[in-house]
Amino acid sequence: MKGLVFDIKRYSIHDGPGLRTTVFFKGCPLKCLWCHNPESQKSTKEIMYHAEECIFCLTCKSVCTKSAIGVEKDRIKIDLKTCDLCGECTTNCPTNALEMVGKFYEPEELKDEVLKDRDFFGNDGGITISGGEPLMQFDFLMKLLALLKEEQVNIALDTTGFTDTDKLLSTLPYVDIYLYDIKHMDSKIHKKYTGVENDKILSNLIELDRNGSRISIRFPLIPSINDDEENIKKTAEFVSKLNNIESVDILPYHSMMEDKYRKLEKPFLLKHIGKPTKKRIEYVKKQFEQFGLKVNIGG
Amino acid sequence: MERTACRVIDYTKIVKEERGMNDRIKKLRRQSIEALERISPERAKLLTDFYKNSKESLIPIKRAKAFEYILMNKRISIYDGELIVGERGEEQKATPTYPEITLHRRKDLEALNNRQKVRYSVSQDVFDVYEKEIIPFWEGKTVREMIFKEVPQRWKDAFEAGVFTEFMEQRAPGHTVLDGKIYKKGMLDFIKEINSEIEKLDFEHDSEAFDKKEELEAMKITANALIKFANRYAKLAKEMASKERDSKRKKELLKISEICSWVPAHAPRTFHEALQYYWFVHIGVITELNGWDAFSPGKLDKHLFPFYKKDIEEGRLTKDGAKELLECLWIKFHNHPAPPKVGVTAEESSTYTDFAQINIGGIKEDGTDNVNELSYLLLDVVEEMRLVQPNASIHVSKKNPDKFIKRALEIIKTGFGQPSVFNSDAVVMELLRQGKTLEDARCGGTSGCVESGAFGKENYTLTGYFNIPKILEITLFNGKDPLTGKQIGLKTGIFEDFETFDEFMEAFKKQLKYFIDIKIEGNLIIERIYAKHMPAPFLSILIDDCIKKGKDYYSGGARYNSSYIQGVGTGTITDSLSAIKQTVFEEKRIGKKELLDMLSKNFEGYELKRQFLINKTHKYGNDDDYADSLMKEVFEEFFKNIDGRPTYKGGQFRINMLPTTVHVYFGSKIGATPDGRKAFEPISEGISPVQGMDRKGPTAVLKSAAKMDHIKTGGTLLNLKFTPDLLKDEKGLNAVVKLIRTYFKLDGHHIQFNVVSADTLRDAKKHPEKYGDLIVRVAGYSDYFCHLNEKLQDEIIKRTEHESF
Repeated sequence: MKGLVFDIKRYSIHDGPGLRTTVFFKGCPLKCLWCHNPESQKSTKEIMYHAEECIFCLTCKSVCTKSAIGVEKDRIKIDLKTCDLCGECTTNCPTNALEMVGKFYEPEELKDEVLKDRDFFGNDGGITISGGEPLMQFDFLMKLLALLKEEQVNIALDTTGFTDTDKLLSTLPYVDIYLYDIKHMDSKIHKKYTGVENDKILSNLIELDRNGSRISIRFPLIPSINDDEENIKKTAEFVSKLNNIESVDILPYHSMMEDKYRKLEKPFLLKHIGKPTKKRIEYVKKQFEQFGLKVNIGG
Repeated sequence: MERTACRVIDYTKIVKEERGMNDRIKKLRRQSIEALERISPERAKLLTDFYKNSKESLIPIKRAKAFEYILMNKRISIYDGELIVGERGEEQKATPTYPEITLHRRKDLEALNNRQKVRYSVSQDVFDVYEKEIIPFWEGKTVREMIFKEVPQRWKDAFEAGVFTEFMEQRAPGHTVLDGKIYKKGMLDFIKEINSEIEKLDFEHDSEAFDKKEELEAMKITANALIKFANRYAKLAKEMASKERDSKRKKELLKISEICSWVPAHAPRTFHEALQYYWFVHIGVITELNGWDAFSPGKLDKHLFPFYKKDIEEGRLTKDGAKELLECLWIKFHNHPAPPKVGVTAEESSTYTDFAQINIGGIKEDGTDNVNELSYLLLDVVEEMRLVQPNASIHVSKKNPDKFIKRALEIIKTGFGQPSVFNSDAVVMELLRQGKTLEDARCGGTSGCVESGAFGKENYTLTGYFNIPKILEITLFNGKDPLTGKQIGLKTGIFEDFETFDEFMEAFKKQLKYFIDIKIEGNLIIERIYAKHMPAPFLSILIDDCIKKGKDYYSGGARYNSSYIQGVGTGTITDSLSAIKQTVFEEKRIGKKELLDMLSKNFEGYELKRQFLINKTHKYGNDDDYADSLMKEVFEEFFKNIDGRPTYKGGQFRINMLPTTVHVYFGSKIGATPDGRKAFEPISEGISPVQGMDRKGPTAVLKSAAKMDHIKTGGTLLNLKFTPDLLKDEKGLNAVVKLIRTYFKLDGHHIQFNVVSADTLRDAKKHPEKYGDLIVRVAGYSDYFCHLNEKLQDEIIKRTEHESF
C-alpha cells in the first residue's frame, strides 16, 4: 500500500507544539481559493514548472517518450492530455525547472523519513500529518499512525474535518493533538470559497471534542472573506462552547503562493485581496480572546 | 596614506554609537577603536640591540634575557581613565614584529601599509629603522629561513601547490590557554618552585640535568622580569598620582600603583588584582613570542568567581564595579591586533583579531555546572562592548540550564557573531580519548577558533590546514597538479582505467596518505627547530609540567603535547566524490574522459552537465546517507593517517576540522571540481555543507554534520546562518535551543550562528559606509564585514539562509 505525499518539512515550528516534522499528504476534498499549497489539492502527481530556473536546454523535450512537451513563447508547455507523468523530464531536467510534485511512499518508508529528526523533537515536538486532507488516504494514514504510535512520538493531525465521522474518530487512539480548520461559519459562503458546505466539518468538530481529544483551531484570516465581525463572533462563539480547545491559531492570509498557481497553470482568483493589516490581526485576536480563548498568531 | 573608505566611516558610525556602561568605558572604547593599527618597531629594535650586544651563549638564558631587556626598556604609559594597565606596543594597537621568527622586509612592510583590508600603517621612520638596523641584522638568521632551508623539495612542491599551509613559518606555536594557577600563585611562588627543582637536579645521574638547569634559570629570569615590568607601572602610576589634580583619578592611580606592586609578584587577593595579574601575564606571553592565537584566560567565570564573591561580601566591590573592570579588560584585548602576517599566511587568516577566546559556562573540574552570576555578567559585557576581540564563547553542558543558552542567543540575535557555542561534554570526551585525566579534561575548553585543549597543561599546536579537495584533483590527474602540470603526487592510475568507484577511492586514499606523510615530515622538522632554537621560558612557567620536568614548552615540557593538522573542505570533497560515484560510475551519465575534459575546461561547453552536477547529485548537508557516508569515509581516512603518530616533542599528531579563512585561498589553488564548483572559487568551510547546497533546513545540516565522529577530533567548526526573524519570538528561541541541545547530544563540537539577512549583507557590500559596524561570524571568529575581501563577503552572503517554514 502506498501513500502520495507532496512534501516533508523539517524544523517546522508553526504546525503544532514544539519542533516538528510536517508531512503533507496530497489530495484534498476542498478547493479553497486562498489555498497556500495549491499543489496539495489534486490526488495525483503533478508537474510544476519553475520558469525562472529554466535555461531552455530542451532536455525535457528530447527525453519525453510521449511527445507531450512543447515550447510556447518563452516557456515550456506540457500537454497534460498526453503526459503520463512518467517523470523522465523531471529526472533529467538539469536545473530542476521541472519538478515532480508528489511521491509515493510505503508506510514504513515514510515513517523512517519523518522520524529522521526525532532527536530534535524533545518532549513537546513530533510529527504533524497535514495535507491536503490526510484522511482522504485513510487506509494509508491509519497504517502510518499505527507505526508512528509504536515509536512513541507525539502526533498532530492537521485536518479540514471534511470526512466521514467514523474515519475521523478512528484516528483518536493515535493522535495527540488535532489541528482543525474552521474557515467560515456560513455554509453557503463556505461552499462558495471552498467548494463544500461546512455542516459536516462543524459536526465532526463537535464529535471530536466530545471524545475529549486536544484540539487547536486553525483560522485562516482572509480579508473580505471571513474577517467580518459577524463571522469572527460566530466562530468564537462556536469554539468557546467546545471543551477541549487548546488554542485558536490565526493564520493571516498572504499571497506569496500566487506564483505556485502559475507554475501549476491553475487560475488564481484572489488577486484582489491583500494581506490583513497588523492592526486587524490584533483586533481579531482580541475578539477571540473576549470569549476566553487562548489565541496564537501564526500557529 | 589614505585609509579605506569603509574604515573611516566605520569609526564615525561607532563613535556615534558609543558603547559602554559609563563615560570612562565609552571613552576608552572609542580610543581603542579609533587607534590606528600600525607597525611598531620597538620590540624588533630592542631585540636587535640586545642580540647585538649580548655575549650569552646558552639559548634559553639568552631568550630570557632578551625578554627581560624588552620589558625593562620598552616605553610604558597609563592612559587617562584606565583601570587595567599594560600594553605590548608603545601605545594602543602599535603592533610589533618578531624578526627572530619572520623578518618583514621592505616589500612586506609596503604590502602591510598598502593593502586595502587589514592594513597596518608603516611610517617613514619605521621603514628606516627596519632598513638600517633590523633587516641587516636578522637576514639569514630567522626561523622562517631555517624552515625553508630544511624542508625537502616534495614539501615545497606540495606547499606551493596549495595542498597544505604551515602555521609555524611565520608565527611560533601557541594556541594555549591558562588554567587557574595564577590566581593561587604569584611569580615569587613560581620562582620558589623553580628553585626547588634546581636543587633537586642530579648532575651525576641525569644526563639532561644541565639542560634542565639552563631552562629553569631562564624561567626564573622571565618571572623576575615580569615582576620588574609591573613595578615600572607601579612607579609610573605613583608619579602620575602625585601630579594628578582630580582627586578621584588620583585615588585610582594610587590603587593601580598598589596593585602593580603586589601582582604578579604575589597571588592576587581581589577581583581587580586578579584581572591585572592576568593582563600582565598576557602581555608577557605575547611579548616573548608571536604564538598563534595570542593567549587566553580560559574559563574566566570559574577563575574569577571566588574573588568576585569575596569582594562583594566584604564590601570592596559592586556588581557594576566588576563589570567596569571587565570592560576595561575587554578594551585591553581590543588594543592588541594580531601580529602582522605576510603572503599566504595573511590570506589564510586575514584579520586583526588574535583569537583570544573567553570561555563562559560549561563545567568545573568536579563535573558540576559552572554557570554562575559572573557567567551572566560576562555575557552582559560581551553584549555591551560589541568588539571583535576578545572572542567570547559559551560552553554548553547537559548540566547547564536553558536560561543560560537563551541569554546567549539574545546576544547572538543582535547579529554580531558572538558568542559562539561549544559542547562542553564533547570537549571532555575528546580530551579523554586522547588520554588526559578526567580532571584535566574537565579543566579544558576551547581556544582560537574551536580548538580543544587541557587548559594550563597542554601544548596544543595547530600546524597547518590540509586541502582535502586538492588531493582529489591530484588523484583525478594521476598525481599531476593540473594547474601547473607538475607531477607532485604519486602515479596512482589514469582515471579512465578505474573500473569501479572503490578502485578510484583507493587511489584517492593513497594520495591522501602520501601528502599527509609529507606534511608530517615537515612538522617534525619545524618542531625540532623551535625546540632547539626558540624556547619560550616565560610561557613554560605557566604550563604544567614544564617547571617540574625542567623542560621548555616547545621541547615537550607540557604535560600533554598535541600537534594538529586541520582538515579543510569537507563539503566540497564529499559532494565531488558523491558526484563522481553517481554520475560517472553508477548512472554512467558522464564519461570518465568527459569529466576530466569538463574540469580542465572549467565546464566551458558543459553548462548543462554542470547544472546537473549541482542540482541532481547527492549532497552533504541534507541528512542523505549516500553523500554523508562518503564524508565519513574521507574523515576516517584522514583521522587514521594522522591520529596518534608521534611528534618531535614526545606528543601525538591529532586532527581537527576548521578553516579560519583558508577555504578561500585553498579554492584559489584548485581548478573546477566534480560537484559543479568552478575553478578558483572558494571551497566549503569548516564542516559546513557547500554554500547553498543544504536544502532541507538546519536539522538536516546538523544531522549530516553529526555523522562525523567529532570525539575523534580536537574541534570542528559548523556555521549556520539565520535571519533574525527566526529568533524573534519565544517559539523561535526554544527551537534554536533544541537545535543546539540535539546537535550536542549527537556529539557535535561547536556551532556558530550568523544572524543577518542576505539582503542586508548585499546592501552592506554595496554601501560599506552604511554598515561600518556590521560584524559577522567568519569562521571561528567575528570580523567587520567591510574588512573582508570581496570573495569572503560573497561567500558569507551565499551561505544558506535557513528560513522558517
